[in-house]
Amino acid sequence: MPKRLIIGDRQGQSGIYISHPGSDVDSNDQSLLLDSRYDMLRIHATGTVRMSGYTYSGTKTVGIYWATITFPNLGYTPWVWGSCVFRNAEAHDLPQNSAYYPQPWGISTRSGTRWTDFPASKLTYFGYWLENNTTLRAKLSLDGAGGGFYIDFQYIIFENKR
Amino acid sequence: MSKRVLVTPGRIIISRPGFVAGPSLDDGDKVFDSNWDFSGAIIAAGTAPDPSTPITGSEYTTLSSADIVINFPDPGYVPAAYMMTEDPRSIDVVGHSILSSAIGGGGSGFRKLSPVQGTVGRGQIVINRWVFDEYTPDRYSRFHGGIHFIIFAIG
Repeated sequence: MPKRLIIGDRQGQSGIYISHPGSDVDSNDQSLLLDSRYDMLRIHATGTVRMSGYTYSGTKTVGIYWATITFPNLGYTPWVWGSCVFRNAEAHDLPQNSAYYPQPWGISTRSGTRWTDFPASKLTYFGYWLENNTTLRAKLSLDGAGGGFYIDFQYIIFENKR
Repeated sequence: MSKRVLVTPGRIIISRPGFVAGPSLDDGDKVFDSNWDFSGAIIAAGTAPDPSTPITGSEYTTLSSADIVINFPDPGYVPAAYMMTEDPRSIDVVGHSILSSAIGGGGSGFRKLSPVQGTVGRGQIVINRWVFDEYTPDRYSRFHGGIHFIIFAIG
């Protein structure tokens, strides 16, 4: 069994070090499971909310979904992470319970000199952003679909500064 | 008060407040377990501004082709990293005014938050710019909102 724990000096730097299972803590070319020289990801808030839906009926039908999350102010802008999850058995071409990450330019093809909008999926745009230090927003659109699908927004707000 | 730290040969477990540390405790009730593959250790996180000078009239375009370089302490291996950039404007997506502030929850329109491609090395991330378009080959993309980055202690 390799040595996995050091509390004290490690290569001239004092701290607490724990290696990954099966890895030697003295090895200096591998990541460590715990390394007190560095920061840790710390979670401020997590959650899942059902996004509100709206059916836009103009030149084409578009489902617009959105969510607003409020969270306690840390006094600075934190790191956030989010994804959307389709809960319906058949949300057009989107598999049930599958998660999607930001598609801020739309699912499209690069053609000519600019991003053009030829959606490869009904999911055309999905993005989330911090409105301010207490408000996280998310919004997405489904081309050719209404606003009645069940779509969740999952988020993690870290305590780490962005 | 619960006994929250368990130190045994080959295993260290720290439990959440209110839970007794032990090998049969659910992972969700632990703060740390030496059997995990990741404990949340990160080498660095933050936002790196784009140092280039924008052209007149567009904060998102520059005449500089210079890469953006983010330096961090060399951990002795090539770590995993994640980079994003955020368009700080509250705008409608071009061609999709339906995503405006008028519909869907109020507030701003749709801000663009995009993953950024870069090359991660030991102690450095290098992010190349791309030519803005073929008609203006002397102009390059500029990350007006800066580069948000997390460098994980995974390698």
